[in-house]
Amino acid sequence: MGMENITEKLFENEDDLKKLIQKEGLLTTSPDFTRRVMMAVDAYEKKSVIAYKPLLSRKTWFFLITSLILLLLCCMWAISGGNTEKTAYSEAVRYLFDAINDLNFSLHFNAGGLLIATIVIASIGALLCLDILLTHKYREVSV
Amino acid sequence: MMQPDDTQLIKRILGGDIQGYSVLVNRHKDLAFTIACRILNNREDAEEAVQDAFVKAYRGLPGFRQDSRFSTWLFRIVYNASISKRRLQKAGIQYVDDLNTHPESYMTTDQEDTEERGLWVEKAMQKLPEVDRVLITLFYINESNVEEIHRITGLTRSNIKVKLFRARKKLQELTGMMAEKICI
Repeated sequence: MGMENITEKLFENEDDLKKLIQKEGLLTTSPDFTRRVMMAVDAYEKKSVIAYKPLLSRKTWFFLITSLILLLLCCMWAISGGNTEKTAYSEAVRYLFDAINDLNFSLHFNAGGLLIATIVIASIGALLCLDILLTHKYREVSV
Repeated sequence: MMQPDDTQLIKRILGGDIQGYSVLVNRHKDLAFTIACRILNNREDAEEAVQDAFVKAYRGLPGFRQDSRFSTWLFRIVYNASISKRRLQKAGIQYVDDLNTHPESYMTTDQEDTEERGLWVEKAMQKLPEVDRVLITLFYINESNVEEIHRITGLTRSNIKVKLFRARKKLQELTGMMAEKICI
């Protein structure tokens, strides 16, 4: 007797078995199952509605960027030796740097100190921009 | 009125009709639940696994490539979720095997004869290994072929064939036993 015949004989009542399992083998969920799934889906939908809320307003951004540019320009001007001609403006800038130097006792008002200050300010600016960009990209605010 | 098929429903859901998903859930929940029960042997755990699987499937709908049927894709998620849950249980979390202890709680109707047959099917199923129960469920109830079962379970085709052969043989034997009992 070949393998096929054995299989045929073995499963000759398979239709009955199939019908029985199809009829009795299917289990049913509790009556409120679909409602619970849809509640979970709704909750997911609400959560996934993304609204981006800028950390800084336009005004603050303008003020921040202008200040940074001004500071950088001042630093560059001071590093390059500055204008020997004393004006009210240059005195004000020098006064500003003196004030900074007073705060930072280890730094003297020289080109090296200003270079470090420039790098620090530029780095903080770059980090701030990076932070804003990343926050904008990943921050989710549920509405 | 003709019910929209799964593909049409998925298009509607992706278009923003969230309620369309309830039709998909109603259509596939029982078989998904049966698969989970066959692995987990516990109604609460199975419902939880299937619910998680449905939510996961919903989240993954935009990425569903439709190179297989939605049900195949969904049942694979259900199967994996149930296997993961089962592993956690085996890792030491206590659970109650309520399908073994209270098979009557899974009766589909109240009629006595059906009750007896239903009870028998449950008992027969419990005599099979977990994975074999899933294979039988997919083979007989979902009428899946070996390729589809392979996609759902990740088992090799030859392994599926061997397991199915053995499980069917075992069920045949049990069917014979039941028929004898009924005759007596």
